[in-house]
Amino acid sequence: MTPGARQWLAVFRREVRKAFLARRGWWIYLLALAPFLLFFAYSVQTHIEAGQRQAWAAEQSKHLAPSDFDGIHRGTSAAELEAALGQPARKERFVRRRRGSHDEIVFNDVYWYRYSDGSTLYDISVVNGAVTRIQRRPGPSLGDVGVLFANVFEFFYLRLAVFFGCLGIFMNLFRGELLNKSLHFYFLAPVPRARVLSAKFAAGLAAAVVVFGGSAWLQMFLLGRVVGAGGLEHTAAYLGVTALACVGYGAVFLAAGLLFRNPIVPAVALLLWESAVPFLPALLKKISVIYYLMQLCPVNLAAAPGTPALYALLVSAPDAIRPVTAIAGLLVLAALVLWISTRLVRRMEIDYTAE
Amino acid sequence: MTAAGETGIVFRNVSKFYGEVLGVNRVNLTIPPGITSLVGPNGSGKTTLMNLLAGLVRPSRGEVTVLGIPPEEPERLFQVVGYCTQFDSYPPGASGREFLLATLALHGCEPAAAARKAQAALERVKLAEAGDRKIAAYSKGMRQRIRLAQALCHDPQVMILDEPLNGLDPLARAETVALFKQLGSAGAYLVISSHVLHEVDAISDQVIMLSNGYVVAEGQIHGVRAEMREHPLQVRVRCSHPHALAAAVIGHPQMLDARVLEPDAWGSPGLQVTTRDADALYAEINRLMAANRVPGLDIVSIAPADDDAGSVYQYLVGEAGGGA
Repeated sequence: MTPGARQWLAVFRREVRKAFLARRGWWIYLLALAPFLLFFAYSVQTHIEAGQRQAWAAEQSKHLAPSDFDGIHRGTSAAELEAALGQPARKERFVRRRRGSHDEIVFNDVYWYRYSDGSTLYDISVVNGAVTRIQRRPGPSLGDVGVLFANVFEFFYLRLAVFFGCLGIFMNLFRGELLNKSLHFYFLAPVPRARVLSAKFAAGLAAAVVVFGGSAWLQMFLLGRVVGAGGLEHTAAYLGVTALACVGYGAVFLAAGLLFRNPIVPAVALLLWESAVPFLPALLKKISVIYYLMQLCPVNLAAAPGTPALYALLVSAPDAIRPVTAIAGLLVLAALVLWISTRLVRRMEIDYTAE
Repeated sequence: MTAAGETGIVFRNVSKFYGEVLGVNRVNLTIPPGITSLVGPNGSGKTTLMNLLAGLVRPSRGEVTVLGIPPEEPERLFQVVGYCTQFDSYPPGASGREFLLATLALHGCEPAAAARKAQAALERVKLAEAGDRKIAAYSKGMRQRIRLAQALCHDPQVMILDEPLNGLDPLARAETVALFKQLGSAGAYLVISSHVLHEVDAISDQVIMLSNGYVVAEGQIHGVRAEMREHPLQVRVRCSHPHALAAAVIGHPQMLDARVLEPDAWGSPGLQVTTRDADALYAEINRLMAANRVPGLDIVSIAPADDDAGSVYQYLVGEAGGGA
């Protein structure tokens, strides 16, 4: 190993340890784990519902398959219903009062027959002895949880959790050392400052990818278990997008840490800028991280029916560009910002008394 | 020593401003090998001068070179420079030895060589036994010594030491001063800052006196004092019959004043003479004794009273600069 490589590794090792064990960094773990906790609660709820479906299937008089419900339709009599499906797990009666066509008060005798085939709940409404409605309530499908995850990932995880997490990790690389009065440890060693910067960035990136990539993988694994699969579709794509988000935001916040004393200023400015990307001119869009990330997200949420317009604007890919172009664009942007950071760190002065 | 080493440490017309605030102004210095003390009160520019040497701050004007190397090239500069700062930079939970190994890894040392150098540095600062203890459990003096070990573990030719004796007990202080003297006599450059002026007398080969960002004097302390002709020398003579000696010397044209002193701790009375020429006073006392002009005169000691760093600094910058 060359002396330069040994120097780089020495900085990297020290910085990785600091990034993972930073006393001021506990909130980053919380931020990364927030969606996992949300999905954990969701998985508990779906588990309880699955148990209910199983319990009802056991309580009803016949063991039913989904095809048994094919013969039940609007107008089927209550007697035919019970003959076909047997006694339900739950049968609830209530009287519905409504106004008739001549303004008279009409009372309807309504029964709810509740069946289960083990995976889907069936609520069958019987009014005045005839079926009026069949409502199916299946358990979540792989597609459902995929869309749920995509919403949380694109709207919360990328834009807020990874964004602020990278702010916490990467701004701390130089600012934190100035506040702790320890940056001179590197600047008083025969290490080119560009090498210090690259090792610090790599250490921050390793920490961010492990924390946020790990959390994303855990979320997908958990949701996969909810639907009985090993994980979600597009797992590799989401992990790749998370890693690229760490690269992009990491580079930007590393540079911000060299330029600003107060992290609030660049954080707010960048958050506003990233949120405004859909409204920016084509050229300016390209000077943002989210522009490239949205091109790479595998689920197009904006195309889903019923999506609110503003939300669709935020979660849509601004332009249709090829994934390889988006990846190259993001890496070029990050490299450019890191090059500027290298110039800044070479001219950087340490004056602890000014901190 | 390298060919570049012949150029020493050079400041050419260096100024440093922190915005509107003056750090140092128009500094022209050439620092030779040996122990050089930067003397001045807090805020006089000592740390700025050392930070300029190490490239931690850049001059607003002028140029600095250390053995011919500009501070803008840290990969060359810190092969020959070690800097002992006032600030801690220990990794949490590290032992003294681990801290030195981490420092040497930054110097690109192979693990075996690093282990050897770390052990040698620990022995030099008398921390060999405590080397494997956590730094968090070190006393203030031990922390100061481990910082010193960090600065010298890679055998630098130039050492910049910011208040290196702070926190040391008298024994450690004496050992550290001896180490500095050993390094200085071996041809190393030691630049030491101190605002404790009596320490400076004990350590320094030469001094650089700073006040409000300006260099007010530089050179060997006795040489600087000798140049201050507007301030006559004070010479203290411990002797028997001080009144008779005062009467005998006061007539000499170079003697300006003679004041009898109270007996010192050993009960020896004395005389403080103000003179334009100390050598003339010594010659006059010799002549008086040879001629037995003061019968029964017994000289216990004779020494300058105001050619130490503290007195010189007081003369140069007045009461406002007194940090001694």
